[in-house]
Amino acid sequence: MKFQWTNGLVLSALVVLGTAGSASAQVKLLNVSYDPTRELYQDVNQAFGKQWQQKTGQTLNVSQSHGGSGKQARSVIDGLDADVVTLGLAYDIDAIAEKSGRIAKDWQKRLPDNSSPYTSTIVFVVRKGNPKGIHDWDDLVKPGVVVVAPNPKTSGGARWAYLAAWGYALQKPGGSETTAKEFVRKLYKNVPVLDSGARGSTTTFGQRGIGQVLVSWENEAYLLVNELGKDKFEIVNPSVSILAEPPVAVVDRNVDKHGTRAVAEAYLKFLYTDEGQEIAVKNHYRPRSAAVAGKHAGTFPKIKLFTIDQLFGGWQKAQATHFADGGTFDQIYQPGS
Amino acid sequence: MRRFAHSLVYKIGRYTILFALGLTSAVARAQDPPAPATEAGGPPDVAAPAAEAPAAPAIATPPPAPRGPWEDRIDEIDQRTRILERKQELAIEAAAAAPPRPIVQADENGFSISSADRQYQIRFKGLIQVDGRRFFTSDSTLQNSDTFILRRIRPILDGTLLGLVDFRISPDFGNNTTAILDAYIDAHPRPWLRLRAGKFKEPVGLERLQADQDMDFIERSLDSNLSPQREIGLELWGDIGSGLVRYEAGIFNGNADNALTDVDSDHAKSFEGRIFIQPFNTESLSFLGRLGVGIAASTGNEKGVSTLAAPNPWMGTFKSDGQQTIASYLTSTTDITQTVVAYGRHTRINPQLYYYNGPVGLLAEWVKEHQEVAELTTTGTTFGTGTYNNSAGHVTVSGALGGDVTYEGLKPHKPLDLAAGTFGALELALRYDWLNIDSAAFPTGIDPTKSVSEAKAYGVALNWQLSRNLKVAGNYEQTSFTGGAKTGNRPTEKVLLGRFQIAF
Repeated sequence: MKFQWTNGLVLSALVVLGTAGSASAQVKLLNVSYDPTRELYQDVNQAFGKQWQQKTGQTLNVSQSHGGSGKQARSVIDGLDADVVTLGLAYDIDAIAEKSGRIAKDWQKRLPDNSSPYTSTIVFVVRKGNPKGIHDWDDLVKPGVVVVAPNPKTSGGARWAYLAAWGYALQKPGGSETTAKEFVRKLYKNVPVLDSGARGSTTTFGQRGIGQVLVSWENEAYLLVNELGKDKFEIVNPSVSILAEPPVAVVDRNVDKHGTRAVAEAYLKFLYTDEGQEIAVKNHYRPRSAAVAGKHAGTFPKIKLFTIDQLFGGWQKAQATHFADGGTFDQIYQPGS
Repeated sequence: MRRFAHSLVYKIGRYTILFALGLTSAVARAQDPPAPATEAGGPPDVAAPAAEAPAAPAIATPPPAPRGPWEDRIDEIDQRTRILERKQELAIEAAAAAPPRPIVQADENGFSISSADRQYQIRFKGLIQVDGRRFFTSDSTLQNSDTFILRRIRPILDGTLLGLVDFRISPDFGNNTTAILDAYIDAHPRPWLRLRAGKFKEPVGLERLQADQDMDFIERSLDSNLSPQREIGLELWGDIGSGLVRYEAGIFNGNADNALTDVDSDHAKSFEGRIFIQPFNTESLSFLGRLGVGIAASTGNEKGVSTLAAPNPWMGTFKSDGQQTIASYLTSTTDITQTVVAYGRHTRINPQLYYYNGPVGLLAEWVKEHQEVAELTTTGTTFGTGTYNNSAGHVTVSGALGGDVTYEGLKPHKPLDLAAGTFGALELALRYDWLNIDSAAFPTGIDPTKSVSEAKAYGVALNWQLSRNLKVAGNYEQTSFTGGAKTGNRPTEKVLLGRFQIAF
C-alpha cells in the first residue's frame, strides 16, 4: 500500500495535538522562598495541587527553592525564574520590584493583609532544663552566653530577630536608640557563628551542639523541638517580640513569560483560604483568619508583639538604618571580634 | 577529602583534649576531700553511717553532682571547638556556593580575562617591531632607503566564546600603512574539524604561515613573493591523530602575489589546501625531534580589470630581502597597452619541510606558480595572452645557545636575569633563498630594464631572545640579481637589518 500524503498529514496533526494536549495537562511553578518554609510549602503544594487539578484538570508541579530571604531575593533579581516569591520580609520583595522590575511596585496591595497570609514572631530555643537560665532578652547579653542567630545581611529571620532585640531594648525603661544599639551590640558579641539563613542556624544549634540559646522564628523553633526531641530542647518566649509578617507575591514578568499567571495567583490566594490557613497553623505559623485563629486560640502563646511600622517606620527605613552597608549592624558587628 | 581530613583532625583534637581534661578533672575530684553531706545541693554521702540518716523517703534519682571548674572549662573548650568546626563548614559551603570568579591572567603569553570554566575568554596581545635598515651602496637612490621603520605595530585581540568559537581581530599600523591584517572567527567543535571564516593566512607558504615574531630572519624569504599575505574566505582545517596530520582546505577570493586586498576583482574563486604530516609527533618518537613534511597548493581563475583611471591588474610585485621592489609587471596610467593583467588560471604548488630538534632547526620550501595573463588594448580589452611560470625557494638552518629552535620561535631555557647570570638565548641562522621570474614575461609583461629576472640571496641572522617576549635581531643579507638594469644587472644588494621586538 502506498503511503498517502493526506494520511501523513492527519497522522502528523494527531501527533502535534497529542503532544500539545499532554503539555497543557501539566503546569509548573517555581516558588522561591526563605529558609524555614520547606515543610509549610510541601503541604501547601500538595493541597493546592489537588484542588487545582480538580478545578482545571492540570497536574501542578511546584518546585521549591529555599535560602536566606535576602539571598533568595538577590537570586531572583539576578534572573532566577521564580513564578512566585514567598519571602521573609517585605523589603526583599520591594528590592526585586525596584532592582529588576520583575514585580509590580504595588505588589503589596494585591492580596489581603499587605500580601502577608500568615505571621510569626521571634522566640528562643534553649537546651533542656535551660541550664543558662534564659528567660528574656536581657539574658542573651550576659557574658559567657553563646547565642546562635543567622546573619541579618542575608537572612530575613535574622533581621526580624535583630529588630525584636532592638525594639525590646528601646521599650525598656530609659530605653533610647543609644541604649538599644549598645544592647544589640552586646547581643551579637555573644553570637560566634552567623549562618546565612534560619535553617542553617537551626543546624548549628540543634545538630552541631553550639550555643545555649537559638534566636529563631517561632515556627522554626517548634519544628526543631518536635523534630529533634522535646527531651533535648525547650522553647522560651520572651516578654516582648516583633510581629513578623512574611509576604508573598507573583513575579509578574516571569509568570507572563511562562504563561502561569492564573495558577500562580490562585496558588497565593489559596494561602488565605481556611485550608491554607489550617496548613499554616499546622506548620506553626500564626494565621491571619480570625476564625482559624479562634479555633487554635491555645496553640500560640500570648506574647506582647510590636510591629515594624510602630518602632522602625517600616521596612524601607529599617533596612536603610540598620542593614544597609555601613548601617548599625555593620557598626556593631565585627567578624572575629 | 580535604574537608574530611580537616574534620577528622578537629575531632581527634577535640576528643583528645576532652579526654585529657576529663581525666584530669576526675583525678582532681578524686583527690578532693569528700563534700559534707549537709552541703546544700551536694551529692548524697553514701559513706555516711546509716544510723545518722533520718528516716526519709527513698530518693528515686540523686540530685546532679556539682559541676567542678574543670567541667565548665571542658564545656567552653568543647563549644570553641564546635564553633571552629562549624565556621569551617560554613566557609566550605560558602565557597562551594559562591559564583565562580573570572580568571585574570598576566604572563608571557599576554594578558587575559576568562570565565572560571574558560568557556569565555578575551586575550590582549601585541607585537611591536622597530627596525633599522642600512644599505651598503654608492647608489644615492638606494642610500635614501636607509631608514628606521616601525615595521609592525599590531594590537591583537583574541577571544573565545562558548568554548566553541575563537576569534581574532588584528590591525596593523606598521610599515607606514593601516590595515586590518587578521579578522576571523574559528569554530572548533572537534580538534579535527574546525571552520575558519574571515581574513587570515592562506595555506600556501610554510614560512608565510609562521608568526611574524617567530621567524629566524627579520624579513621573509624571496619565495614569499609568490603567495598572498592574507586571503579572505572560508577554510576547513584540523589536526588528525593529535597533530600527526594537519589538513587545510578552503575557498578564497584568490589574491595576487604578495597582496593583502580585501575585495575580489572577479566572480571566480580560488581553492587552496595543504596537507602537513609530522610523523614524530607522538610520545614514543618525540626524541627524534619535530619533523614536518607537507605540500600546499592553490588554484583558481583570476581576472584583473584595469583602466587608466583605475588600474587593477591583480598582479604581484616582488621585493628583495631588503624590502626593495625588484620586479613588477607592466602597468601604466598613461598607456593602457603597457599594462598586464591576470587573466585565467593561477596555480601555485608548494612542497615544504621543517625539522627542529632542540637547539637546531631547518626550514625549507619551494614555490612554483603558473599564472595566465593578458595584455590590454587601448579599449581595455585583451589582445594577447600569455603564461608565466615563476618559482622561488629557500633553505634556512639555525642553531641556538641557551634555548630551543622551534617553528614557534626561539624559546630560551631561562630568560634574561642579570642577578642569576642567565642571558636568554642566542641564535645563529643562515639562509639561502632565490627567485626566478619566467623569461616569457620579458619584455611584454615585465620591463627588463627595471625588473630582475632572477635573484639569489645569502643571509646570516643573529638573534638574541631575552625572553619569550623580548628579542633583538641583526641580519646581513646579500642579494645578487640577473637583469633589472638598463645595462647589465641590478647591483648586488647588501643590507644590514636590525630589530627590537616586543611580542606578548
